[in-house]
Amino acid sequence: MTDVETYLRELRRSLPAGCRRRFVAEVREHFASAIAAEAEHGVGRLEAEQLTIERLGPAQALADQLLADLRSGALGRRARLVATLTTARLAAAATVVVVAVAVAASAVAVGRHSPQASPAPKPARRLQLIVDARSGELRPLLVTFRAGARRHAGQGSTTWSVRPVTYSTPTR
Amino acid sequence: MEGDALRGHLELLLLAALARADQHGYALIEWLRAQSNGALDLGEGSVYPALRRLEAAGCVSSAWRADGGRRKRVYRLTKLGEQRLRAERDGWHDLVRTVGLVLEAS
Repeated sequence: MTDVETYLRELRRSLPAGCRRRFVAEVREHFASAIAAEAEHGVGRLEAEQLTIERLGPAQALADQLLADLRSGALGRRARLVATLTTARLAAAATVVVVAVAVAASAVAVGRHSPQASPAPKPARRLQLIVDARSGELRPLLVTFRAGARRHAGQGSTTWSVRPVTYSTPTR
Repeated sequence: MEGDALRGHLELLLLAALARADQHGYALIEWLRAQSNGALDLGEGSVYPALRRLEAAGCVSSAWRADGGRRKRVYRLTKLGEQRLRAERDGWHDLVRTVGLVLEAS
């Protein structure tokens, strides 16, 4: 990468998106004109580049001048708004958005897969009466149910299938 | 004459340069340097923001123009720019006259 390209790259990075293209294109053209003019006087390209950079001053200083004008409103209200959109700020805003989206996505994922987000019902016990196959008498039986598969019932609600896991005779 | 001394007068100089002909940034800088026999040592980087200020104020307009296979942003003085140039030129002459009177009396 040439010194000119480095210069233009730094300038581009320091300017707000709204005015970057034109300003950088104009400075690029300034370089082309200056280098061509120096060449007519027998100055080599590399030396002409250095001379032009020296006369323009540091890219950051050039960007700072324009930014100061933008922020002061000297370039109009719209331009002032644009001045707030520097690359660094855009990058920071983009990072915030990306992180926010990632957090939201992970929250949704947790909601889908974690029992903590929508806790499964605790095991429940129910007393049932069954008919004893041998004696034909009714007999109490304590059945413990646990949550099985989760089902979405729509409207944000969730239902759970239950399955009996233990059977025992109630004690007094 | 270096940048600090020119500060505040740069826009007047640019308006004066554009009153002669429509020009792009580099040509403006070269013309000013030539007219001052090299005495005006413009901070060239300050010219482009100054042109932007003048454009935002409605004193100049600009457009890309093809020139020798390259695109150049060419500036033109507007009616408002002509008025401002007249006013600032008068102000400058008044300042020079006034300062001259004081210096000659000392």
